[in-house]
Amino acid sequence: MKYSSVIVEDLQTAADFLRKFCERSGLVEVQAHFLNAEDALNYLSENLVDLIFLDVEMPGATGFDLMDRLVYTPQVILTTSKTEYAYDAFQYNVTDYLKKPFTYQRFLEALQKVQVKKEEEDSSSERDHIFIKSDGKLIRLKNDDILFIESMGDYVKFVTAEKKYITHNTIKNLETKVDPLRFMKVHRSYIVNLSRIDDIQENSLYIKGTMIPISKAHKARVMQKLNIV
Amino acid sequence: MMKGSPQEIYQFSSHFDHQFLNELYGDDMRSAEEVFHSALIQIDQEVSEAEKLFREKNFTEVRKIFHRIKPLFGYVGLMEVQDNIQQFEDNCIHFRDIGSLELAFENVKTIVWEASVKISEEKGKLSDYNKQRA
Repeated sequence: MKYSSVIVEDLQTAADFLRKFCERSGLVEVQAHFLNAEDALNYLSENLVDLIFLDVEMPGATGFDLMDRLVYTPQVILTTSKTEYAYDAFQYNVTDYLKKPFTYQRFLEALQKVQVKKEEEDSSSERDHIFIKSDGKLIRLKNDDILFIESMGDYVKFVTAEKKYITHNTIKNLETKVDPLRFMKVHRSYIVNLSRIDDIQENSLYIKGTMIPISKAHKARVMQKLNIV
Repeated sequence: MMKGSPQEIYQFSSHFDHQFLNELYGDDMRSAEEVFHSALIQIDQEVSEAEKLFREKNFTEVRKIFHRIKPLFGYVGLMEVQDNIQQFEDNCIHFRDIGSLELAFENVKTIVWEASVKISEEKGKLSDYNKQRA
């Protein structure tokens, strides 16, 4: 799997090097490059990325301003030519701090830190929510609040007790994104929150009165997962 | 070894940090030539803009321009120029009087101009080298 990323950098030469390094590593896909923080924020308010390569001093807002205004927390590698920002970088808990110009070897070391942090986050109990893109913005949904996710062709519907959110995605893709300890695919069109199942009858389960089919292919695994005494 | 044979390794001139440049570019001297070329153009444009802003006494923006172009000197292996520019950036923030800042500005422009001459010469060398291999 590649890390999705954006480059926020006002020096084109530096951005070109970063893009080349990302391509060469085969580990990072650069979705976009922005010359200032405002344009990057507009993009990031509607698009999720795993990683931001972020310059500090740019025209207008700084890289730190951008981090203050992000609604979610991707990993950040600061790229700057000034070592004085190291303390602030530490305060912002950035993954790494690259002083420009840097070599490909140093870039790879930073990517290793990204990988370690990602593994830590994935195994952490703090991963209690996901972000979905709906109505042109990113919405934070707590895992506890999601009852189930239903396929609607090229879209999916996230159902909570309060509201339904429709977003452009697929069950197949979401299967790898949701917390596997909490969510489970029970049918090609449904992922359910295991802790919100009220009852199970034959080949169906019920959550808050909604019947959800369990496919033959998934039934054995579903029964294994449940705490049946 | 024959001049221009594919095995010949490009040698950067002694002004440049060739160890760093070799790490950065490997044997891709076409990329090196492109970067030297674009650095020259950008440095020229940005310093002209800085001169205009300096005359307007907009020292904050002057500092930002030098901050932006500082890494360019790193990408061409002139590390000490980055240190000189950092010094000038600090001067822009902590200057005592306009006179001392004017002096610092003239000084940094001279350093940048001398560096640009070296970059231009090296860019010519790189261009010749790449043409031989075309």
